[in-house]
Amino acid sequence: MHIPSYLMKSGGFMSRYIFKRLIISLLTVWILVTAVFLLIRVLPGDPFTSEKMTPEIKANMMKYYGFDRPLYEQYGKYIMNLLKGDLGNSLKYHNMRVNDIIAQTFPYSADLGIRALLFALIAGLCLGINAALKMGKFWDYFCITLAIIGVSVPDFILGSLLQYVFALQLKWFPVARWLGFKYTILPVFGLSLYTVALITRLIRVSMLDVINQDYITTAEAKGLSTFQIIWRHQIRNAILPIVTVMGPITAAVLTGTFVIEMIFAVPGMGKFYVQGIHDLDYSLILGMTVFYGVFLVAANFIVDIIYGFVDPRIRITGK
Amino acid sequence: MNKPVDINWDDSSLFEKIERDKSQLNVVVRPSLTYWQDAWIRLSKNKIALLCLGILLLVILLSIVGPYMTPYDFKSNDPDATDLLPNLQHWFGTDSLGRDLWERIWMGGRVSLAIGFAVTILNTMIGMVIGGISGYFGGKLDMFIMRIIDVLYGIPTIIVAILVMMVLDSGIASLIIAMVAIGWIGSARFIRGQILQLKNLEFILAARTLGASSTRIIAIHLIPNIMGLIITNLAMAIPNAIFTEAFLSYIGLGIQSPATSWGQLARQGAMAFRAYPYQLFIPAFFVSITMLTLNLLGDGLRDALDPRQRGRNK
Repeated sequence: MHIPSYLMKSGGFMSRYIFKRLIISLLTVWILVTAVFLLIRVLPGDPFTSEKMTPEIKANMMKYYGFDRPLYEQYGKYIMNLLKGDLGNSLKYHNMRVNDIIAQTFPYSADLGIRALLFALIAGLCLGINAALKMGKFWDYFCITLAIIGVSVPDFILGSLLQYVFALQLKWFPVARWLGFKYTILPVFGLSLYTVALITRLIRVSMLDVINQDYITTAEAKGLSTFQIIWRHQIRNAILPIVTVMGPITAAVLTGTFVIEMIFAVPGMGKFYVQGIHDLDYSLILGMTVFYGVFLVAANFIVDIIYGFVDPRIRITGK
Repeated sequence: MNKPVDINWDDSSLFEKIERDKSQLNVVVRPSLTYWQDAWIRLSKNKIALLCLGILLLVILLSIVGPYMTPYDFKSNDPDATDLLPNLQHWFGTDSLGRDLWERIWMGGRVSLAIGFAVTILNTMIGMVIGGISGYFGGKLDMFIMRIIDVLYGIPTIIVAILVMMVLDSGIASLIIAMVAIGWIGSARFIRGQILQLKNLEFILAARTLGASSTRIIAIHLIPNIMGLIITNLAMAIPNAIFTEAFLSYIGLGIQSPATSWGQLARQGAMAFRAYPYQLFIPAFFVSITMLTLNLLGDGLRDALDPRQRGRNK
């Protein structure tokens, strides 16, 4: 197989770039984990205040969960457990490990999130490309309007609105829960509209940039068909910027699941997370925050690497 | 094809000679416009941006005077008037405790808008100082600051805000701290990038040659030159701050009843909205319309303040 010479030369730069991003990501996770640990320890109140129990039982409970040990000892134990992949026990749901709760609920959140991301990518691409190709016409204005509304209506409001109109009034879709395809439509739509809007705006701008490039004129002059020009020369070059926003988009979809899962009673992580906040369930919040944090940092890391490969400025210089 | 008309260019009768009037040489035909006057002219030609500015000012005005327009109080309950639909006495109806929603919407508007503006301005100011120092001085200091920023940048703002809100008591000040905690990082990165672009240009070299101090160069030469971009970014960031406040209050971490904000009203409305949908839809409408007008105004400001970017990201 023939490897272009610039790729061979850039091998060293690229691995240095990946190494650098990896170190930064690991540091980020460490800072997050430490901050979570410290913040949770200085929280006002403790998880047992809401329940009626004698001081002795409370002291025993504190001892059982290791809250009576010195802070550094708790921290060391906590980090060791984390390295082993153990996120501890939930304080509210007795005898349930945070790992189990995440294992049980994450598939629902992932299902919802992936559906929303896929829908957002497809819809955003179609709308954005369509808007750019029909610049200044009805479709363009339609897409711009949709995009600006999409970034302006918070997801918790959109979710409730969809539920009210399409489930409660029109009765086209089930009101809540997660039992089949019909149940997924409203939550996925509510979760993804912001992202659809974001991608539409981005693609439209980047398509308009590409359309005015000289190589498009060249392609036209060569006599390529309109379809070939749009598909091979315009779209391919215009979708690159999407890579740069994949990190923020993942974060937006993820935090969106908190409220969308609450509104539509989807038994995912977000619902438990918000519930944990109400219950002051330290280790549950701690574990889930660490999980969310690592997940997002990892997502950003992957995006950075992909970006490094597609952007020649990084590929060649490693900066 | 028309045949070109033959002109005898040497025929002086065809032309009239105009003497050069030396007294007119230094007359300025059109008044020279400053950057800001120019930007205002561009902005005032943008009908959508002006309309948005008008709506936004109206919302701000109503947040200020709205609570004084009815005899009710945003905190006091009325057990005889719970869950009333909007009517002549209660213009936006009442909630499940009989509190007047017109009062609560505008008191909530004060809180939401104040937090939105305060957080964004604080973030930008911290970002200006840190990004300005880092970008201008470069070297080891820049390396150090940038490594810290690189590491912190990966942490999702909303997760930090959730953690901080759990530790602090709920309230306006806590919300602002929670959102500023790592919120300044984005603007610091942005401003550093802009400073890096500018600091090697000739006018900075000229200022340095004339003996201007670093503080003076940053404050007088660099910051004013990126002010347009900073203001555009500011306008774009306010809706995000309003959204974050609403989100935190919605999941129960922000403003707590009886104090109120649009997010807290949306939360209470969401609890009652199957029976009384207006209790959710009224605050939802004001959050959305405020974010919408700010977004569109931000677009308009970008077009006006940064002509190179005109027409992008529509």
